[in-house]
Amino acid sequence: MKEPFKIIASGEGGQGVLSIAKIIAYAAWQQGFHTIYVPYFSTEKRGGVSVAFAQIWDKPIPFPKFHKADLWVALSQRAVDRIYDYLHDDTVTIVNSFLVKDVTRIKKWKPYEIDATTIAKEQLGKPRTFNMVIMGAMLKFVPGLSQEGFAKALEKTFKDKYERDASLRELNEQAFNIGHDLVK
Amino acid sequence: MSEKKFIMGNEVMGRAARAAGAKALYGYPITPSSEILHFWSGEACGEQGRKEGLVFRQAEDETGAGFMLIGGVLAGARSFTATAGPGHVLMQDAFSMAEAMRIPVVAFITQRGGPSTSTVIYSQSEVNLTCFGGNGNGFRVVYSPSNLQELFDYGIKIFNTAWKYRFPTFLLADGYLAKMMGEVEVYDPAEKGIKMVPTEAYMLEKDRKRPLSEVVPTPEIDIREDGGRQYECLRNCLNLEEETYAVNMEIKEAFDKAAPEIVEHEDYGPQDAKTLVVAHGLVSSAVRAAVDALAEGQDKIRLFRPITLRPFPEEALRQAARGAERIIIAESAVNQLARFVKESLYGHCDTALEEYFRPSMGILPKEIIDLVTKA
Repeated sequence: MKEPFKIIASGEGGQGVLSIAKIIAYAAWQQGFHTIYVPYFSTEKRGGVSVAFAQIWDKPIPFPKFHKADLWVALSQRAVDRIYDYLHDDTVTIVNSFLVKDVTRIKKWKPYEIDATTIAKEQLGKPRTFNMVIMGAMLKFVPGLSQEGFAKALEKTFKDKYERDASLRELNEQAFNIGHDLVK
Repeated sequence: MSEKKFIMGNEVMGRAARAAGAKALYGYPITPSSEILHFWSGEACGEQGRKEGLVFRQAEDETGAGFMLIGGVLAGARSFTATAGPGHVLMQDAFSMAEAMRIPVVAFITQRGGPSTSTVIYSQSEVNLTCFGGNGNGFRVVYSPSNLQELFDYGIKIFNTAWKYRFPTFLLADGYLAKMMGEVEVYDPAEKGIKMVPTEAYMLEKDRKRPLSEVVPTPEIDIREDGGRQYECLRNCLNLEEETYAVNMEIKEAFDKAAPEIVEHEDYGPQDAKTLVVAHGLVSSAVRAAVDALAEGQDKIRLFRPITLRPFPEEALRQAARGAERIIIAESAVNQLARFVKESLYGHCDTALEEYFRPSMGILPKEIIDLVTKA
């Protein structure tokens, strides 16, 4: 890898965008990569656009922030409108189409429009799993990251939750696989 | 036992203090340093922390926290605080007192945007404040770590520097370093052969291994007798200009003596490079990457990085600057690092200094590469 692989997850505060970037960075670290995750943070706790930056490389990462992402995910309309500046010509873009209705601004990037919210609600019966659907889709584009390795990272991240409710593990797996298969 | 972890910078600093055997944190939460307090309160409330008598005190504000910190040190506890931005401004009153009386307070500073409340994210604009805040002369030790691992390594070291030399000692990090997550090796200092310098009460105990007269400036110690017992009283309120002069000169003498032992720098890259880039903290990590990227071509560069900003590695910089055709100073602030560079090189170097000041903005490797190759 000539340059670090750069990921941005963006959406509304509370949607779990920070967790998405953090989990992917952690999974990559578990698989032996150098990774750095940094949230964009401001004075507001709610109602702001939430952005997280993650980088994955086979060398130490020189700086936590960057200007252009290789993989960019937007979970809300405001995130699309405000964060699209971080795109370069070849950025892979993924949006949750249930919440992002207007993709005109990012049309030339041919975004993957995934209705993760509806899938989570109707197919999985648990709206919170929409993040896992998105992560499944994202993982298709992160170089060097294996699905097994990702599953191991999830085990560690959700250890406490899985111990309380083992069915959550299966649900997450299903959600992940649906997202993963949606991207061809 | 040594262990590699994937953790946030603030937690790294909290763990460093714990590994160093710190006993007490006095503070007041402020972004981006708050998780240091979160971590410590968790430790202090845990079973092990209770057994050890760890102290966590949230004061009414940073002024209170700063003076509580002094109290902890005077009682002989390895104590510290963590703050940033406007909170850091408030703490200068206490830090000045610590400077005046050679009280080894330790503080983790996570610079945020300035001036004033500004943004809670990132800058390098608390260099002046950390090095020269208050109404003293800047007799403090300030380390500027450049990555997560150094937050841990120097997070331990600051306690030893503080207690060995008895100067207020700071770890000057920033909001990105504080909030980012990555790999860090955490360890028990003893495993690496690092011995912790013992702490000792300034007050409350009669027999000290190190008499106060060796540390506290003479006019500030008042020995009184009562009922056949001697008491050492400390004061930082002086009557005469001559006393104040004596205090300042004694501190200066001690600082000048300690400086050569404390000062640290990093000189990275090809020694025959014609361009020298001076940077500190996280920005030096970006410069290091630029050094690597340019190592094979015609535009080789070399990084000079002060690890201690106070005392500043003046002599080492003069040597590095010798033969440099271009000297670039890169910082996420205006003229805060550059001031040190100018002061060090004045009269020693004819090369013009180029300033790359980006207050509150991160500096990426590509910006440094462009500066060098597109000039």
